[in-house]
Parts: sequence; structure tokens; C-alpha cells
Amino acid sequence: MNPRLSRALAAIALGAVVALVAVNVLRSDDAEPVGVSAVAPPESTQPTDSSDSTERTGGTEASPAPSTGAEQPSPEAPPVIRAVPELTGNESWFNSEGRDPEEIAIEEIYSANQATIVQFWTFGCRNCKATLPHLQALYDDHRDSGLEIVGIHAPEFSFERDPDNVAEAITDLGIEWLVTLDQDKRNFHRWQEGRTGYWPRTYVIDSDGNIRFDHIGEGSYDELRSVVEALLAEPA
Amino acid sequence: MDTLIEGIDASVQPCTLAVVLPAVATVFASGRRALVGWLGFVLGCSILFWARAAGYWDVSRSGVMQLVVAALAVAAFGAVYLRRRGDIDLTFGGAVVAGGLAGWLWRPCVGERLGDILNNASDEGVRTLSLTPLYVTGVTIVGLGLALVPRVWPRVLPVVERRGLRLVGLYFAVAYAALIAAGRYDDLVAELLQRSSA
Repeated sequence: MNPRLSRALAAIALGAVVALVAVNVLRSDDAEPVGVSAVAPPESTQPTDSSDSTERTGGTEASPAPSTGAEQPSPEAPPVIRAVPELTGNESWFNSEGRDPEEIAIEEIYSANQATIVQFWTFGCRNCKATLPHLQALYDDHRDSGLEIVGIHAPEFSFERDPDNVAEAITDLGIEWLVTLDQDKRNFHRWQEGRTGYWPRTYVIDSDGNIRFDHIGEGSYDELRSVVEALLAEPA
Repeated sequence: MDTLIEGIDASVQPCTLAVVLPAVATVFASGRRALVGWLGFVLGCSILFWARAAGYWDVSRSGVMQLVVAALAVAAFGAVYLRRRGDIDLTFGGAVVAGGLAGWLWRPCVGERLGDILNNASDEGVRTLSLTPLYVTGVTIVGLGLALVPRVWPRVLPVVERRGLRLVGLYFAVAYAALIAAGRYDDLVAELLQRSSA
């Protein structure tokens, strides 16, 4: 290749690299999520996220039919993915609201609610924190009609293992639902098949203890809402 | 494009330091063949990271494997540094191995685009495998920028060829390998995370 052309192409590429990095550094300074209460909850709208269409989840698309003035049909029930694994060896419960933490059993939470969102997260994970406003919006909409959320804090690094740090993070982030500690990540790895685990990992469990939604990372909030609402619409 | 942008966004977050630093070390160790080194790193990292997500690579990183990984890290960066053994060009191959190790050890925090790859890797292999290098390119974009500099300014070439600068990559590899062998890799990443978040 002509050396001058090669140099010109390299200069263009380097300029693009610098521009992209600069733009994203500036964007990340503005866009850092600071907590549930500080971020406006998203609107509940039709799914618009392009990743929804390619998502492997427990749910079939449960988009409501266009309104014709007649009563809308119940959303289709999401299929069962698998039975929920056990939660064992977890320590401490936060936001237990007067309940004896020693007596909280997650199986009772599943059976007492038509839909339970279980999320593996850690407070040092930016992407985990980004999901919180969406979970809070769902919680606000449906906590009184059969939805419960349980956060399982699985620390990635040593400073995330300190329960005092976790408690502080829960307060700072405005988390209102139950949180328990999975300090040795035994549950984190047991629930996630294979040796690789990811943060955040979000599941929806029905009252029979079956997983109906399983999602890695951010996104697919419309689908999460559809699955939750489909389960809430099922007869108790 | 969204996948590339999300990767670039992630590159300035602490979660990806475990990939960014080895990528930059590979570029330094490659000297004038920095672009080849970077390409090899991205390829190796993408393939192994995708293979983990798709369930094709499920090897434990504990116990004896720690020593194996450490030895491979030293060998890979050593190959990149040596560049040539007889007629055999080692830069690309060494960089692929270095990238593969980084992809194996990497534990990302998962945004929407990366979540699309991870959620669908086993069912939509071709699509997600083609997206993974885009994401990794974004994450390692600083390494790409460094690799392009000698191409844009040939006067920089003698600088990047200096043994001291190239040895930065090798020193990093030895320290990296020692931490992995001692099971302290997580502590390294935790320390980097805390320092960068402070």
C-alpha cells in the first residue's frame, strides 16, 4: 500500500478513536446512575427495545393487543424454564421490616407471591445499579398485587463483602426490597449454569418455584414487565 | 454500532480494566507490530469470551489451572516481545493467546448490548460471535489508538521500538502471571476498581 495512503488511513482511524473515546468519557460523566430515588422511573410502554426481539428468556412476547374498546385478553403465560435452585448459606437479610431474619425462607416468599423477581447483583457494578430504577418502577406498580423482589448480593471484590458497606449501599441506592448476602457466591454459581456467572442476572419466579424469566445484564425491561404482569394475571 | 459504542463506554469503567491493561501491555510489547498485536489480542479475547458465553469453554480457573494460566501468560507475552523465532512470526499468535487468557478471566458487568450477546450466544452463534469482536474492539480502543500512533507519526517508531518500552509489556505479564498463580488476581482487580472509583 502507498505509504502516504496508509498514513492517511491510520490518521483517520486514530482521529475516530480519539473522538469516540472523548465522547464516551463525557457521556459517562453525565449518565452515571446515582440511585433509585434520583432517577425517574421509566414509562410503562410497548416494548421498543430492539434486543427484546432476540432475547432468550422464559417469556413469549406478551405485547397487549391494540385496544378496540373491548376488554383486552390476558397476556400469554410465559413458559417454565426450569425449577428454581435452592438458596442456601446466605447470610443476613436487609429490609426485612420487623421479620426475624432467621425465619425468612425464600420458598415461602415464592409461594406467598404470584411473581418474585430475584436479582443477583453487587453494589460496585454500574450495570446492576442501572437496573434499579426499572425494578423500582415495577415494585411501585405491583407490590400490593402479588409481586415481591429479592436482591441477592454476590460480591465481586473484597470491599463488597463487608456487610456494613452493603448496608450503606442499600440505603444510598434507596433499595426497598429484601436483600440477602451470598458472600461466598455459592448461590451465584449454582443458579447460573456453567462456571461463568454474570452481574446483574435477573430471574422471575412463579408461586410454584419455577423460573419463568432469565436475563443477563441490563435491558429487556419491557419483557420483564410483560412476564411479571402475565404471572400476576394468572389465577392465584 | 451500538455494540461498539457500549464497548467504548465500558472501556472507561473499572469492570474492564482486566482486559484493557493486558491489551495495552500487548501493544507495548509488540513494538512496531503493535497493530498486529492488538488485532491478535482482540481476536483471542473475543473467541474465548464468546465460547464461555455459549457454553463451549467451561474450564475451572482454580487450582492447577492457575499455574497453567500464569505460565501461558508469560509465554504469550514473551512470544509477542520476541516477535520472531527463525522464520516464524510470533507476534500474532502470542497476542491471540494473551487475548484468550484475558477473555477467559474477564468478569464483566453487563450492559444491554453485551447482555444481548451473552443471552443469545448459544442459540444465535453466528450473530453473537460476529458482535463480540465489535464489543471487544470498543473495550480495547485505547490499545488501538496506541497501536495507530506510530503509523500516523513514523517518527515515533524508534520510541516504541525501544527495549525499555517494549519490556513494559513483559513486566506486566510477569506481574499478571504471578498474581494469577498466587490466586490474587481478584485482589488486583478489586484494588484497581477501588483506586479508579476513589
